[in-house]
Amino acid sequence: MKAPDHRYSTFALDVHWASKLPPDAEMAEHIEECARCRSYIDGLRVLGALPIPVVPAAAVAPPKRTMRHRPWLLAAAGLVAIAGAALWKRGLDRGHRDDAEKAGYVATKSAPAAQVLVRRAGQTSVWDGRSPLRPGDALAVRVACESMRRVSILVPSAASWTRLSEGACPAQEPLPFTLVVDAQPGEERLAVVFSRTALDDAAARRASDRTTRSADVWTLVLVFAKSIGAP
Amino acid sequence: MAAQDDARVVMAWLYRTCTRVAIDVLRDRRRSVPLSPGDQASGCGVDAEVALEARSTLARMFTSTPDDEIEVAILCRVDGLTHPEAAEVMGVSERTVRRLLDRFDTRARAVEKEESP
Repeated sequence: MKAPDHRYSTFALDVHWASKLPPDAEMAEHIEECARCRSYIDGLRVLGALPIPVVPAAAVAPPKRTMRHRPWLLAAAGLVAIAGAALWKRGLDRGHRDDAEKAGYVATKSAPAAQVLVRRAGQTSVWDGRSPLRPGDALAVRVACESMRRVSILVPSAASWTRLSEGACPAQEPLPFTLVVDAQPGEERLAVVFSRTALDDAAARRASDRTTRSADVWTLVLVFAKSIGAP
Repeated sequence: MAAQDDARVVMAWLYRTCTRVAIDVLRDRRRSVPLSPGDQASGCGVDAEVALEARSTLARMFTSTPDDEIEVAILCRVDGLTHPEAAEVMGVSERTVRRLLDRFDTRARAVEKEESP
């Protein structure tokens, strides 16, 4: 099998998909050979098949400034998703797998577990569960799902929790998102909800609230201290 | 061919708009928006290591860097667009893209030097 020798940006794949035209010969051959691009196109097909949400009229007449950006936040989130989803795939696998394997996972035997990878100043290390994070640190999460099949990631929001991602448990790779630590004082929290079947938003929030641990749902809440003044 | 051109125009507008909105949101919140669902959600043109480094750098430089430099860094380094694609999205020349990236890199080096012990 020939290795893909041409790289296609997400933009090029988006344009190809949005045009609804068959790809030219070179791109068709590339997509056939390149699992990453093929998977991306498949993802677009799945997204394209979803119904377009209907926004109630009341929601599009925003008197408040805080509401003005809301419709765009979804679009922005989508872009950030496209932009950031593969960040860890090579960078972390490339030189830091050994560190990760050495450090292992923190969990009881056979329980689902999560491992946080911290990238700071060009170096990636496994978070030890105690060390404070610094502004600018980039975080990725690697999971061992054991008997669970799905994993959701949530962060605290004003009212409850907001789900950032949901998907099938990856074999080894970190979950396809990154967090960058801000300079705001206070702790950061992250809920990792493992489940046998896909959870809806409400169920995921409930599991995060209660730190549910059962045969079907297993929740870990990670709390990160921050060192704001650190160099 | 017309469909392809239309798709390029729409997609360029979408990238430009979303990038600028994302910059606004980040400036407001001073924190990056993490995310998102889906496995392998990028084309192979995205260099994961470069993208990660760029995000980390952007997070440190957000408040002190002009929007056009942030935008070009996001498009080229995080989203993995080529220079011609970034030029198309931003509505500028490739030369301008290169110039903005050079400025961004110079700024990043200065910040790194400042932060190094």
